Amino acid sequence: MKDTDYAFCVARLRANERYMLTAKDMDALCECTDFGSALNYLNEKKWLTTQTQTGECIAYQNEKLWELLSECVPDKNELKVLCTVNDFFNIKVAVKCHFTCADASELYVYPTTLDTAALSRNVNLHEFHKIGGIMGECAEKSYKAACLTENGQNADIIIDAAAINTLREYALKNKASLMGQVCAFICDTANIKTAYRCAKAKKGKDFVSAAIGECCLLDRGSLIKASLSGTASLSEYLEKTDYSELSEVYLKSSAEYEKRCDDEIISLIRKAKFTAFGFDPVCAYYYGKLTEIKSVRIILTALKAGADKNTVRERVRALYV
Amino acid sequence: MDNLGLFLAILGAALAAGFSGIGSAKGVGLVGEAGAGLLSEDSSMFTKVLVLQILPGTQGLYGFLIAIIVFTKTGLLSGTPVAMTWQQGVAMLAACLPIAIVGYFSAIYQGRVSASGVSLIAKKPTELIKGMTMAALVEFYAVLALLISFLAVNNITLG
Repeated sequence: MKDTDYAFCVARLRANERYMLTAKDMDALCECTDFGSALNYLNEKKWLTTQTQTGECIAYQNEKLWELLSECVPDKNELKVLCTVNDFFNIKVAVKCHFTCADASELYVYPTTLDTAALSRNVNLHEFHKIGGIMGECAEKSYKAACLTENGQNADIIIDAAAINTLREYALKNKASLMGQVCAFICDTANIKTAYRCAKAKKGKDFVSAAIGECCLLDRGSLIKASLSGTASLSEYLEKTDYSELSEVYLKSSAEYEKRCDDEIISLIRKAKFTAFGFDPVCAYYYGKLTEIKSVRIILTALKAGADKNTVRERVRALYV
Repeated sequence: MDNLGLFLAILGAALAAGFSGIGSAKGVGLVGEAGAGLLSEDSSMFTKVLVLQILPGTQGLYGFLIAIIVFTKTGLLSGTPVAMTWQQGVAMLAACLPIAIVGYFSAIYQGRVSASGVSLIAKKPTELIKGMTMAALVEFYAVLALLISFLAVNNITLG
């Protein structure tokens, strides 16, 4: 598909960027004295309609975002990569709910390329082949791992590693595109997080090898080896890579690490502000909007819980606009 | 072979009108697509979008103008074609090439700039002039090509 085929889509997204929340808006939200006044502020900004709960607000915005992208992106297949993380998360939900007999429908996240009702049915009936492709394979492996070891963590790592490998595959195929760069970053930072968690929990070689997926800018073998040798060795290894700063942040606080990763993605996608056509502005709008939604969720949750304003400010992500 | 000169002159006129027209259609079409994207969110922008969409359409007009001049000069419009040698025909064809080539490419590139201008006004509605100026700079080269083709066609002596 030619980049100019995205002319309609990019112009529409640029028009929508005008209504995205700015850093000033986030400051104003942080200054709100209670949950109600924050909702009023969001209402004034046309961010909400009739929603009164955090979950409803977030679901409404996510739905609106996906509706917009589905309407204007000329090649719908391009959108599949944006659902990868949610798709694998939903497989995890289906497998876990099968064992716990919980209602999966309330836990599924959207957008997803999977038919969630069919997913629950296929997992419950052990018809993994019907899920299809890599997702079907990893659902089956994860299910078997949970049956054999009776440990949910073993099931989780198979799905997480499969998600990382899928993103890495996309990143390798689309190295030059913004989406490829974002996927590569997500892939590596997720692996770093897993490596640190494994090192802290002193996990064995089999577990670490299964948990850490393929890497983009890191050497997977070295990362596994360093993780097995402990936190200090891992930090020493990461110091020599492009992720040295992020590694230091993780050692201080995992919540701060999550924020820094989101901020890094925002600084990556800002390049798309200067791109007039193609999929890059779509990718930028999607991640920009996701980060905005995440920040609002943090503020609303904190206001409801009565958390300290400064702590909330520290958690609010950098914004795209 | 008697009419080879005339055939080449007509070919030149066809290329001038054809290529510039195709380029303009592509450029205007691209801006139209971007404009529709913006108008689906904010229909009050119609006038601004229209101004930007018109810009890549001028190359087609330039090509058409040169074709008309060639037809007038060769007597095709009056119905009494003048006798032309093949050398005169080649000269006429060559004179049409600047607007045919530059018109085609400049219209497409101007279309891209104008479509980007649509994205610009989508985000900053007050910046229409900047978007127009950038697109108009591409026009400059189409005007130069028009001038060259016009002078060349006009200075070929026939008969």
